[in-house]
Amino acid sequence: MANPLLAWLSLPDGESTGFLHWNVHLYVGLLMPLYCLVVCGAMIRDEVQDDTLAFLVTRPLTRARLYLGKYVCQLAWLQFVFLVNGLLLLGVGLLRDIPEAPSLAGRVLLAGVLAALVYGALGGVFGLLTRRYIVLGLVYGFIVEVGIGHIPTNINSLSMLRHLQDLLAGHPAVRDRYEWSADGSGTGVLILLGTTVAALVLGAVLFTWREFHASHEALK
Amino acid sequence: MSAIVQVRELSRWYGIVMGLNHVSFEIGPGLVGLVGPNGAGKSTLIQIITGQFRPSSGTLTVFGEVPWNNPRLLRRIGYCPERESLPRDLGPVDWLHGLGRLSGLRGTEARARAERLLAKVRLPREHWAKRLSQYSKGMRQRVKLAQALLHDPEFLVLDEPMNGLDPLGRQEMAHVLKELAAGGTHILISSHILAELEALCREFVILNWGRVLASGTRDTLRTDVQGWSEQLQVRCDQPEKLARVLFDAGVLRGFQLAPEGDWLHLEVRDPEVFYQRWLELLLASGVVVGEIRSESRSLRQIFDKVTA
Repeated sequence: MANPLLAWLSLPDGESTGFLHWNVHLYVGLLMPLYCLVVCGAMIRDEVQDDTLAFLVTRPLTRARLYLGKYVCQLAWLQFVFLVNGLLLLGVGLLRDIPEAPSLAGRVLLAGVLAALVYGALGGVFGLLTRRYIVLGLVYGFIVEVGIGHIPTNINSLSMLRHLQDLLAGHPAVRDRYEWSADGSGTGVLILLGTTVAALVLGAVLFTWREFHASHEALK
Repeated sequence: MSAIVQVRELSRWYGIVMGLNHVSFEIGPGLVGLVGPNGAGKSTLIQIITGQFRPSSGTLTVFGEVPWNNPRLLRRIGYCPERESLPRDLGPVDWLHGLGRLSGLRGTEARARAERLLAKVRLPREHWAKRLSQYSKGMRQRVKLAQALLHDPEFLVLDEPMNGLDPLGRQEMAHVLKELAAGGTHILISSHILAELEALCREFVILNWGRVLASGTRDTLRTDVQGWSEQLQVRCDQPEKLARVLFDAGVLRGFQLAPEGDWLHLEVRDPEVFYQRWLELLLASGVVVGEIRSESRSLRQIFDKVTA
């Protein structure tokens, strides 16, 4: 909730550029992926670190179902947080007399829904791989989202942020300000959803086959 | 009834460390004790039984099925881990309610069962509103036992459930376990408090260094242990005379006179023959016996013998 508060404190009245930067680069481009990584990376990892995973994996359900159930719970929380944040940012825009705020809000909220899905699923996989999932996530962010995402060929489709930007570029003010194209936004949504499914399948398979031993994991 | 757990040539390594070393045995129905010092392989065995780990080689089946990622089998198994970690920010009812939902119970049913089980494990109701992080070790043990019973399992696996309980708590826990066993639940209980296991269990599996050293009922164990001898302490008015009569009759492997004078330590050659002839020889000796103590029947002695 610090995000809308800081936006209200730092943005001047009627200044569209700052408001767009805040929403597009800071909120959707940085805070959303980071928060998803922190929340979903911890969903299994915290159980391992706290040594409480045994209470879950000995329940009568498959490990894949358990993993997906945990993901759905974290996802519900992420969607709630992003909904509240999106609405508060809209409120900040209205208070600061930003003319684009009402029309941009819908796209920011939709970006939040998709970002939670895809970055949550990726964060879950990172959390299964290592207890330093935030470091792994940052490395992924620098290499894939920042590095590959800026290569001007089709390989930049690997960047999930690129597709979220395409979605935001459907708004004329964003398109004009950043000179982004919204042509691929439909495909981008499909890629985001496809990546979500792929990451969930990978996470469920990893969780099904990996053993977690609290004392061993602490060393990794 | 056939064996609940069947283990065939099971080994489990953690890197280069061996948890279980090529063991084969069976665990029967009823209350069975898993005995062994720290590092013996008890927890490894329990974690394979409850589907947390897989064997490195060999097989382990419970009710004829492999436990790993097997919800149908896990529905029949309840598990109470040794470690004390519990979710910090939840109360016991909420936690059990959540685990109950994961076990397939409906919302109201899960809550009702959570409350019923907390009462069953004798967790005082005034503590139910507290967070689990505020609980004492003994209270945590009770909540852990309650979560193991949530889905009404046929086979309960308890890893050191007496840890942290005061004597009254241990007595109450033993009472709960006996009640469950009387109700038809099979229980595997690991502990290093041998006296308590001895009072509870019908059968034992003794582990050390990842190997099964012995398994069976106490009597079977005693018979199976090579070089085993029944040992008795007898307080009488003429210990020397009694020792001579028994020794001459060939029923003793050895004897020792206590320095205090009226105690005699006997090492019996064959318990069956000894007890058949004991009264006859005692009457013939004319010695007056004040007290007899059997030392060799304790699980501690069997354990010491096989782990020596």
